[in-house]
Amino acid sequence: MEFKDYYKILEVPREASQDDIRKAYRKLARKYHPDVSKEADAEARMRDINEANDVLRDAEKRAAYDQLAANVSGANGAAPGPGWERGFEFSGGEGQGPSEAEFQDFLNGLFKQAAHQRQAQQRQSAPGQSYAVRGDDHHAEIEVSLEDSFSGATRDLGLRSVQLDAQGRPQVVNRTLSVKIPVGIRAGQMIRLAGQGMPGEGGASAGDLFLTVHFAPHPRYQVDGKDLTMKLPVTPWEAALGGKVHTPTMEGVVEVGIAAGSHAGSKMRLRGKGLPGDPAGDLYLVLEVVWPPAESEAAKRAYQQLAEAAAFNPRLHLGVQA
Amino acid sequence: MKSMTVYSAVSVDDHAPVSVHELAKLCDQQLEWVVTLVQERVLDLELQGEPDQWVFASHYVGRARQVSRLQRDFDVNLEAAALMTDLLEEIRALRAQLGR
Repeated sequence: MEFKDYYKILEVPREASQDDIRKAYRKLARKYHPDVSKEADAEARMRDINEANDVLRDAEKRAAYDQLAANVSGANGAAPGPGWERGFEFSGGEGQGPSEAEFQDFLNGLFKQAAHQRQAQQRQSAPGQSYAVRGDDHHAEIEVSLEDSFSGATRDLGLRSVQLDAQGRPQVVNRTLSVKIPVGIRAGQMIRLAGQGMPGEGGASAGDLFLTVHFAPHPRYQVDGKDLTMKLPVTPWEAALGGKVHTPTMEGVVEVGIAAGSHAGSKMRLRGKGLPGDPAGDLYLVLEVVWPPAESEAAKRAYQQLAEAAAFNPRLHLGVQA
Repeated sequence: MKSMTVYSAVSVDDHAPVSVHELAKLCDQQLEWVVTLVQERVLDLELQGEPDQWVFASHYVGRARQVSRLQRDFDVNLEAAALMTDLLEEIRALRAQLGR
């Protein structure tokens, strides 16, 4: 397990003042913040930078880290224990890559647990007082497919969290949760798993687990809230003359009518064929006119006949002759 | 065969909105900070009432968390973080339209 040198990550010396750390952090945040950065590894870098900043900017955490770091170097660079690595993550399963929760939650949770434990110990030494604290809520991001939202699939989530044991040492706890995704969930929405956050203390209830949902990119649909948009390829004669064509939807193939005189970019709405809900979202079909290749003699002749029949100059608005 | 409990997740918007206290915790902030967000119209309330009773839908949780993150990461005031959030949301919406 790799020991992270927070001073190195923030590019400051060990004796750096709080002001130095603040300045270094702001400089790096501007460079690597995933919302604004173009760097390829921005997200991973920012996670390390945030983690380092969270610890070094807080006097109490910094002192604890310095002590830990000293022990590490004293033990010839052995790992300082699992608590200092990212400790909370989900993997999507079904071949999707893991999406990582913010380390922030883990680290804050860890320090809060330590504080709770200290309080609990203090209260135990003061008999006659009861002590109960509800567990902290946890938050993570989860990537699901459009199909999961449409049908409400059950997904296995690998969850790794770090908790302090009775002696205050951080321990990695692995568990798998089988979660039923609510039907019609949309990107950006949160789902709540009651009682799946951090355990409570003194008989109090556990916190909740909040998951913010993201959709995996879909090869066919673009998603806007509950509405879906799909490009529907049509032939020039289907667009010009109108007609019935088949189109796939989330629910299966349906027949739609193309209005005569349609063109590339024409938009059709299939009401209620988007994501489920009350009311359900809509499916928008954006027509894409696809021309057959002029490979055969017959096709070439047909294009020539069209050229003669249509007398069409698509560059008229540019002020040039055909 | 190994049996496994299936946990039902519920949508925050449909069934279990996030309380103001939970929102503050999820943002690693105090209740007063959420009150300021509402006063500054960064978050809108669907139902008026005492701050202690406020509840929020998913969209606002993500928004509040982002404002908190931007305030912390860039050391900017609430107005600047809210403006950045508006612009970032607009960029995300435009990118979604482009299918990127």
